[in-house]
Amino acid sequence: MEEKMEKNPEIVGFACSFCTFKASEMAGSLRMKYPDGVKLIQVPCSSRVDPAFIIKAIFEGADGVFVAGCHPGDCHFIKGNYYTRRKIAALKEQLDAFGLKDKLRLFWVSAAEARRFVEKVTQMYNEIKEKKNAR
Amino acid sequence: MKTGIFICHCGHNIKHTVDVKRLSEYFKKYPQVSVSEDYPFVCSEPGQDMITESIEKHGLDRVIIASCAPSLHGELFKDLLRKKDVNPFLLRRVSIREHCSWVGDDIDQNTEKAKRLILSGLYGAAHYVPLEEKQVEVNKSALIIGGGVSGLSAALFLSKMGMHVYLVEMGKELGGHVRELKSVWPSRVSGADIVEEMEKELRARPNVEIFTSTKLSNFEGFFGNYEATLNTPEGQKKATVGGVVLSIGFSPFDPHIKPELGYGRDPRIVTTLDLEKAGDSLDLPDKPRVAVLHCIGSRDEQIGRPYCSRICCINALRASEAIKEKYNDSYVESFYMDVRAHPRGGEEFFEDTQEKGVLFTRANIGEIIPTPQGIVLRGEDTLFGETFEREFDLVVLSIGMSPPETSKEMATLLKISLDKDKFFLEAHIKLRPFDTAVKGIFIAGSCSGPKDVEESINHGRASALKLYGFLNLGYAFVDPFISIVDPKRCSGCRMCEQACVAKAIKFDEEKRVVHVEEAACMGCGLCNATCPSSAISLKGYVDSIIDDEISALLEAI
Repeated sequence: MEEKMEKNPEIVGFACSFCTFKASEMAGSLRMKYPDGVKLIQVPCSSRVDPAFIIKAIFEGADGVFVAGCHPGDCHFIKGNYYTRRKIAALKEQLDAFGLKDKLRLFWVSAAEARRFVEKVTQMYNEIKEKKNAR
Repeated sequence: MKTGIFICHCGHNIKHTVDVKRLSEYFKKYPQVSVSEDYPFVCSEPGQDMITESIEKHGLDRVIIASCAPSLHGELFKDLLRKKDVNPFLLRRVSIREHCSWVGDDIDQNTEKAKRLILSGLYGAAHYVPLEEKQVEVNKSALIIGGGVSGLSAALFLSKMGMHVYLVEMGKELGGHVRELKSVWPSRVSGADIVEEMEKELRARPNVEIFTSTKLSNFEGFFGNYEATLNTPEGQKKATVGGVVLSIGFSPFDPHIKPELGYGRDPRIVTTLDLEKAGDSLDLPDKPRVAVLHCIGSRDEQIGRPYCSRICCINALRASEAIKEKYNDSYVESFYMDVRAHPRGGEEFFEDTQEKGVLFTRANIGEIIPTPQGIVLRGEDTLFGETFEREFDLVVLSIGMSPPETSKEMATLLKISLDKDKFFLEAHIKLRPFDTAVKGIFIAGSCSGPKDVEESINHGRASALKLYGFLNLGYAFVDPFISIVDPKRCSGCRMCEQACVAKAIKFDEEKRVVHVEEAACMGCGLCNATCPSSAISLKGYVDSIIDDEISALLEAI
């Protein structure tokens, strides 16, 4: 039987420079491993992420997009992440109509949570990979 | 456009899992790339020379450095550009170490990932424009939160250097926990003496304002001119300060959290702090049997305190020694997991205590049961693998350090982060151990993790010195990442005005457009993401930069 080529997903992440980007730096320093398909774009605050960026990334072929910011209440810009939460919820509803809802995720990772960052992105990567290869 | 790409090997750190030669060759084919080089250490002096020479030779107007995370060596590389009269905001750092070579093992995959990351830097940097750093005056004053030993030593140093110091203490008097200690190991001086000497010196200085029974109620502004509101017993007071040293110390572990210890149910079960306070008033028989328990509230995953508190082994040894000295015929048994008598002289002290007749048993104590005759300890001897049951007249719990009760509140107020154990997180564990992620806010003493008295004093002084370096300059550069409005595109819908948390966006009734008040803008970019007509954009993170970075990560190459 012919062995099928495994497809690896590409995931674009928007990381808040005050928390998630710091956590990802720490994850690197601690030599934690996560899939190479996960690539980050640094933004000053998760609220900088325009829904258009997410749509653009999906249209250009990203298998998954995540937005990661500070835990609610911890935003450096006081309440930017609350806006993000609303925005992503609204966008998810829109994406649902196209069956693309599962491609977008939002999670909170503080600057200290390197392990959580790795767990979150790896989990997302694996779930998306499974779906991609099931087809 | 003339771009220079410099790829760092970082010794073996990047080179061993990323094919740097292939990368530097690959980017030569781009027309906008004038130089593409790799070098063993770009941050070394020859590496820096290579960059400055290339800038001169090729007239570079964009510099991309693919190396470690952007938080490292940030100013160093910016200065290189400044030296050659290139705007420092035309520099792009790409992290191929923390985000690539250290997270994967496969050399081909890593090289491909690094290629994408550098490409996104190249595409993004194409949209960079020179930005002007605004210079602001720095208020030569400091707010010190917490009047324990670390706060006091920070206040002493800063006031000595001529800075105006506001010292805020939540309790009634200065000195924190050290004031309660009868003899501070190893010098055997009383803790009260140490803090009173510091306090006396501080109170004599004209440039120090001390507020006791005071809490910080509000904190806003930016480095150089923070606005702090203090709730003093006499009412609210506002202070403008250049920077902050946060030294709110620790909370002693509360043994009530572990009910099996029986703390609070019997007066014969005490903590090391209780023992210190009780001193001579302890009512013990002539030949007392005393148990000393190590690691209470430390190295305990079950209660979420997996860390070593560092001070409690010495405290336990001190308690054992004090009892042995007072009651020569006493039987003192110390139950430990490991003895980590870490400070200088600690190991010798451990030996001494053993020689004085204190018995050390490696054990896990499961239960402490108070009975009318004595207190029964049940546990397991972990060297013999046997259970035991012994009766004592007094049980001393050597309690560890818990994060300060107000740590969460403070973190929210000052917008700084906590680590997983709820102590304050430093900006970098090795390179910036005193800084927080917020400029001008420093942490000192045991609020950033367990420390003994000597370390706390050192930490306080070091943080104060770092802050002094910033304050004494008298000026600071503010990041130019603020929003800017294109009035031609602005439709005056005022969506951004509603969204702006900093209230930096103002509506011009006459022209029917908004404008940004530069001093108030925090640079979060929320308005940029909100604007339906793309009229407002955040400098340094404009739409086209991020759009092209996305493309670079995904397009076929």
